[in-house]
Amino acid sequence: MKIYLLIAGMALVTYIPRLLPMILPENIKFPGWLDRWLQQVPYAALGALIFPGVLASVDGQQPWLGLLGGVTAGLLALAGVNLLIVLAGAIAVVAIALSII
Amino acid sequence: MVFRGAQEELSQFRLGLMQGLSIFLGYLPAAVAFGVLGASTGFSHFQVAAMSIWVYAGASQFMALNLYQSGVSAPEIILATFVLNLRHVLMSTVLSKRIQGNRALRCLLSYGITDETFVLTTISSSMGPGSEEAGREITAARFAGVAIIAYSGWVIGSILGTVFADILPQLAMKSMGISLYAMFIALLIPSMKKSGRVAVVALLGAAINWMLLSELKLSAGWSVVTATIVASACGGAFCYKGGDQ
Repeated sequence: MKIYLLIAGMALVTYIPRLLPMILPENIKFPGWLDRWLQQVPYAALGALIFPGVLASVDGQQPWLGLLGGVTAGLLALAGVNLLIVLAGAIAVVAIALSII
Repeated sequence: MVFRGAQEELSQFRLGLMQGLSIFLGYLPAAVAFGVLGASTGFSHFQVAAMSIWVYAGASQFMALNLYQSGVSAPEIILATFVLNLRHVLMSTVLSKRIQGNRALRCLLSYGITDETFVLTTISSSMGPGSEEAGREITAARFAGVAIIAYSGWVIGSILGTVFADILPQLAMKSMGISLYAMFIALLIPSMKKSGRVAVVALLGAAINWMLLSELKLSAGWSVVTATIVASACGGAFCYKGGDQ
């Protein structure tokens, strides 16, 4: 029972922050500066999500594995291939590196 | 006309599913790990599944197991979860300006907001792969596609983890750890090529995050959200009306 109350409480506090901005009136206009700020949020978040997290993504003790996977993904993305191929390539290179060491 | 509209919706939904497959592959091993840990912490299989279904917040769920095991009380765990998830207010605000559709639908879709679905849908295009036009608008159908497949990855992985601790071989578990980062990088590179400011904002976000983590020893959750706010504010301040994107 205690665990279910915990889950219910956690469910509530994780949904509320996701939901709140969506129930704002739809025609609300943000001032220009706020709009420009919000437009940049995805790119800033992306940078912060990638680094330094990528280094510990495969093995916290061996950051070079994460770096190897990240560089592979970067090169494939530069070549302009499809998202899933970038993913498959990065996973494959990391798997090969793991099985060699 | 109605028929064409439905066709369009369906193809946007399919596009979302395809794009979201990358998140599915990233969530799966993490969720399996959560399931394994949950089962060993004394949660029943059903409780582990219920947590993934209803809470749906990766980092918070791991934290909750950890705190629960150390005997921390439920209200304290809930408070910590709340704080850790406040960052979604920011993401949901951005999405509320960009997802089309009526309010009820958008409220439902907001359940699917995670760090990963947020960056994927805001940065990738609604126009399909290879499109130059990264439209500002996100169709509800595409968001739904991304959200549903990401959510399935999390829930299915958690359940598999409780039942078969070794469903994924160690090698696969470890190498799939790179998935979400490969997805992030695949989103970043084309946007950086398109706009110099995007490149600066992203690098700034990374640099600030790194500094906060290593110098101020902030927790990952706080550090990412602080870096995001500061770097995007810098980007916004140097963005002129009618500038690139």
